Amino acid sequence: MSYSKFKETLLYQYGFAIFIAVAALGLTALTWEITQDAPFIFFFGAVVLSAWQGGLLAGMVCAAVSTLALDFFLIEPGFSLFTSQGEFLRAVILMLVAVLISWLEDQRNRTERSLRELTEELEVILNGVHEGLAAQDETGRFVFTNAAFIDLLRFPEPSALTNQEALVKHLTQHNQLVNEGGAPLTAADLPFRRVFSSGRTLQTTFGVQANGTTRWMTLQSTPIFDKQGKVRLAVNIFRDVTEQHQVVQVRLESEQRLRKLLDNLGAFVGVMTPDGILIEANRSALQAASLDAHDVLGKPFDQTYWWAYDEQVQAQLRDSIQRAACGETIRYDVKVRLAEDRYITIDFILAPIFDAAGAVEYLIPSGIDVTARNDLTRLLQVQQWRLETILNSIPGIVYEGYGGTNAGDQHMRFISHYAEQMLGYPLSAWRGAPNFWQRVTHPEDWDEAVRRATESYQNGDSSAIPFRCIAADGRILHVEAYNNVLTDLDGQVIGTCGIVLDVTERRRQEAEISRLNALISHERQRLANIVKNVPGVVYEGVGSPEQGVQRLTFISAYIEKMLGYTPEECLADPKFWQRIVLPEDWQATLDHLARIFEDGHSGTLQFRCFAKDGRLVYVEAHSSLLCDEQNTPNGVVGMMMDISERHQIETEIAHYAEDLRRSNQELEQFAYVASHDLQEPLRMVTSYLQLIEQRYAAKLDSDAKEFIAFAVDGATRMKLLINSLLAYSRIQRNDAEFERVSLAATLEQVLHNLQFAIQDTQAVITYDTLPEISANAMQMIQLLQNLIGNALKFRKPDQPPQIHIGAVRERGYWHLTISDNGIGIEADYLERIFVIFQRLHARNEYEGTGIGLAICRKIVDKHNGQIYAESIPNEGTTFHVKLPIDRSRRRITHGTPYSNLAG
Amino acid sequence: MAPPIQILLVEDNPGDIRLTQEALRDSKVHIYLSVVQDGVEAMAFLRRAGKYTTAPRPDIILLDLNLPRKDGRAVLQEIKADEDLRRIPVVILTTSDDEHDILRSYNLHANCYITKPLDLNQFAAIVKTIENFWFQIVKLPPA
Repeated sequence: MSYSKFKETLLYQYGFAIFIAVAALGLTALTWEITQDAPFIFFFGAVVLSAWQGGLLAGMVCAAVSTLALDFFLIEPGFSLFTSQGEFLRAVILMLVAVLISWLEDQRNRTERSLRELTEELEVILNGVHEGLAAQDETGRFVFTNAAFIDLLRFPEPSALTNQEALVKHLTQHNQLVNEGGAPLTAADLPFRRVFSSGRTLQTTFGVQANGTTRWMTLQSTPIFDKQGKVRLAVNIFRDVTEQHQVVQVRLESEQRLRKLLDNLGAFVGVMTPDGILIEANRSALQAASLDAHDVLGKPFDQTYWWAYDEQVQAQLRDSIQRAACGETIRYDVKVRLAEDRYITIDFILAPIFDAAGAVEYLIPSGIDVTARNDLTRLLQVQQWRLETILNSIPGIVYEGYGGTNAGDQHMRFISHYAEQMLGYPLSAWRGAPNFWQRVTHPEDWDEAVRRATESYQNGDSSAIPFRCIAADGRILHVEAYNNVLTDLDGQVIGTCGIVLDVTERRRQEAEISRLNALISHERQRLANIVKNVPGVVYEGVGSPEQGVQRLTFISAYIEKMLGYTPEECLADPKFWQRIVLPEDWQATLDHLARIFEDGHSGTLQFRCFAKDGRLVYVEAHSSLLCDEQNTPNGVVGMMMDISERHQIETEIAHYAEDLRRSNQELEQFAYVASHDLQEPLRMVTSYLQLIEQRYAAKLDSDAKEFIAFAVDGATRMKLLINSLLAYSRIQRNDAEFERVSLAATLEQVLHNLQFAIQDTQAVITYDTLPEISANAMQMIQLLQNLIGNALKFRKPDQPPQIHIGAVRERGYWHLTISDNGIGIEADYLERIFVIFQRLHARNEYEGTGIGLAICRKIVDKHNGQIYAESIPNEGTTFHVKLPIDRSRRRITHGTPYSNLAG
Repeated sequence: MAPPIQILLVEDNPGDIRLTQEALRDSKVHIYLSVVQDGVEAMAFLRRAGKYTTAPRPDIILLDLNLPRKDGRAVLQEIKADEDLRRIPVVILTTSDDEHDILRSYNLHANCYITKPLDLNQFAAIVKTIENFWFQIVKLPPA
């Protein structure tokens, strides 16, 4: 029995009252000696206590007992009631106190009881609630928890669940807390105590994961304020929402799937209100234009980026939205703008969605990229256009003819542009006339061409059919046709197609080529004949100097005749050249070859070879560089000739030349010696004879003087002869002494030299304008002086000499003439006069050494000229001197060098 | 009396030597004529070598071109190459009238070139002319 129940019992109530009254009596008795007034206070307290504990009756009892006890024990022992007024008053006061206190207590008890009942009812109610409730104070202690709380949280020891820490520990010890997204959650994320600081209702949903299952709960923490507005308690309401959560989750997933589907749909999809405000757009639509949702959502659809590129498109869209809002489904192809100002064409559909009442709730705009579809159509057009362009650019007539295989009946569905260019007929003519091929084909070729075409259709081959066409301007063209049968899908023949090529030029070229081939083969034959008959060996060898010895690739048959080797033998030997070339000459041939490769020119080399029979043959090889197609030197071609004979002659000539040179040198030496060593004795003879004559004049008779005179005269003439001979021998051709010589100046000098003789003889000398020639000046003076001197000398005794010097330019030379009116020369002697020491006259008649004309001839000879004389005895002589204008020219040939005019 | 004019005659032909001597015999000036008969002797004389240690320095040299042993041209070249000797005038007196000889002699700095004439009187005249020109007209370098 609980204390509270015990308090309800009568025993307790009255017993307590009596006991208290007794206790007050006892206390009074004890304190009586100290104070006389004390008993009333004790009894007053006892009544209060009794009334408080036991209620009105117990108070009354206690008051009565106290009155009695007071009266009996204290005032006057014995039981005389109300012995005084004061006593009565005390009793009444005690009664009133008992009444008052008991009433008060009763009131209090009554309130307490009803409160307890209320609380109990509340507890019953709260325990009956499915939500778990836990009210906590600021320290985290749970001041109230309901059964559902314990139950919900599956707390093993409900009595221990007294505060937040225990709850958190329980929640996190064996479980994993997660948030709605599935991310782990810590206790700190739960509201609990935060409510106190925030003062707001906080709510969270979390999952408790354990053993693979998740229980979802919502926790709502609500603050409860005291009168000061301070948060007194926080009421945590836990609710198990696992089932709801699952439902939501399923719906959420389904929604996400749907969204994902929409987002991943290639098509552009959106949702908008009937008045055209976009409220949803799938990812495809956004991404394609690089847009974010907030860029477009909530905006008029026609103002969005996709459309805002063209006002007309926007107007069309607005119109469509209005119509769709009235329940119509709109569909059309339109371009939309994507990122970077790219455009695609979409198949745009705007469909209304109706609510249950049949009113338009939303509009669904969607679009599928049909660029590809349009492209395909366009591609086909382009392909066709391209095909036609290609066909039109073919330099031949491409045609497609319908109406059977017979060309004559066909009409052209396609004829390439080249037809006009090739034959000159307009394309319309081809397309217009059904049998145009027949009109352009040469009449002689038509039947055969048709026959061959038919044949080729039957055989299935498409070989060329040659025939001739007549162009609009009348030209006749050679053409070749390649035809094929056209069938429909069922294999039914519907026509033919093909290409007709103009081969006129090719025919011409073929003819030209065959002409050239004939020419080449003719030339080749000729060349072969030349090579065969040329008196030398034609050869061709490959290999550069670096590669070593040349390998023969061709050698003409003459090799056999020249050296005795057969061409086959030569070609078979890779080291043929090395085998036959004299070893001493081998290096020279290699050097020569290297030089040809280096210079890239041709070159000639003489060397010696062994013939097959061992003879040593002098050869001269003229080689030219041979290049391959890349113009890289790779060999030589040339000709080799036997120059043994020439070599022998040359050797002999060289010997002769050497002999001649030596002989000339000796002659010069001799001449010099003569000029000194012959003259010394002469001088001695002369001088000493003269000395004798002078010193011994008195002792000499006239005979002696005459003899001495003869001796001196002889010696003097001897000296003259020697000097003349010297002059003759000194006439050499020395090119270095050749210069431009004015013959006019020469003549002037000569006339000056001869002035005394001219004066003496009263000669008349005339002359033409004389040229300037290339000559030895000294020798020219000598020449003219001798000839004019002769003319003066061999004058007629009775008349003064008349001399004319003439000059005429003839082909390649100057023809000089020196004519006189002298004694003339007998024809027999016209040649002899030029021979040294030949004299025609006695010394006492005409003095002279007989060497003057010999010198003239020699001078003229040295100038590569010609000298001869014409003469009529007793009338005069003409000396002809021909000097080449170009001194390097060959000697003037002696035709008829002289003639006797006298006959 | 003035010191004699020293003449060196280089000549191998005794006939010519005698003729020269004859021609100079009647000279108005006092002449001392030394004669050597070849080029080697001539150079020895000029350089006072060997037996010519006491030889006089000639005032003028009459030189023949064709000489035994050392040829006249070589002698001329040596004289004209010698610092001391090249001041002595050299008269080429030779039989040769060869152009080459003339040209060559002058190229070697011969002072004059004379061809010996055939005629005695002409020869005498030439010698007289030489004497006159070189010993009376020309100022010779101091010895």
